[in-house]
Amino acid sequence: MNRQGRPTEPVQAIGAAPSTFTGNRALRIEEALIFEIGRTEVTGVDLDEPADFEPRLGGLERKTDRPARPLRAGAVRHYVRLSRMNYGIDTGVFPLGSCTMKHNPRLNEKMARLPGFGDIHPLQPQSTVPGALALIAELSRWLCELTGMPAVALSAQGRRAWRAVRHDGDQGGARRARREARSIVLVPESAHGTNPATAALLGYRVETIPARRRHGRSRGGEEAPFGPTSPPSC
Amino acid sequence: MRSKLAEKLAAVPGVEVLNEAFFNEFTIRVPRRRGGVVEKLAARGVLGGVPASRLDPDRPELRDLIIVASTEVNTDEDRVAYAAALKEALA
Repeated sequence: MNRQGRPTEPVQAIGAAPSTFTGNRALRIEEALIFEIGRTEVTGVDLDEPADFEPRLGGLERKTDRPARPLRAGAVRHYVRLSRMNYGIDTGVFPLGSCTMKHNPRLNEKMARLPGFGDIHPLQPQSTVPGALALIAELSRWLCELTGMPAVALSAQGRRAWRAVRHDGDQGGARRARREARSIVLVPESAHGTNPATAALLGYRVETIPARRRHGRSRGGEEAPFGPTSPPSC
Repeated sequence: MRSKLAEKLAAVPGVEVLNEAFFNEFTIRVPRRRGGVVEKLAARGVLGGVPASRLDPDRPELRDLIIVASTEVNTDEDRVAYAAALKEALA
């Protein structure tokens, strides 16, 4: 059995931590879960006792002891240690995959987090989000112009969602039974491999759009779904 | 805290809270209003929830149901404002 790598069982994780006077584990990268460190009789945050209220959890209220928790400093250190294990745009490059981090400049992140966009709930009344709708309409127009396609769907952000739009449960037989006229999926050469793989698995014929030297697309505009790889989609 | 909103909404004439037990989401039945109750609430500055019919438009029995969420980010003032706006919207 391969015993290398991070222990996955909680007991192992705790056992892997060396016992030191301060609890500091220096360069040891194994980090126990937040509930595996600390004690049950302490709390990291002081909250006011809630006023009397009647729970409506249908008898699912916690009846056992509350889980262990670290003191405030311990909680901070726990999450800081976790954050230092993270791999992000500030620590290295992403040659493939994790496109969000690969492509998104910080400015884009900031724009996406403007309250008028960031605070929108996907199911709130459309009448309350005219700005977002205007942005979607403008982006759609640009994408249509760039790709030569008659329409775009921005509802499918991730690859998984893109599948849901046209493909999920839509095996080739079902597509033919529905007399679905469109049978080709155009996939840019630069797309993530799972895009054409998904389309092929579900009975579509995949046609690749080769990249030009200057990063353009050499064909498009056919009557077929076209699944470009957008920054947050792989 | 959460049950406070359910109680406030249940006190609005014509409104029925359907869930006996819930955590942070519950469903209410409201009388139908032209243009939709959720839209009327939005016009009063309250995002009152998701019409169940939006999740499943083919089921007419869902047309008068709204799924409401209330969490720790909602204040007592929010809850009072919601109940008042709902009362107005249904008046």
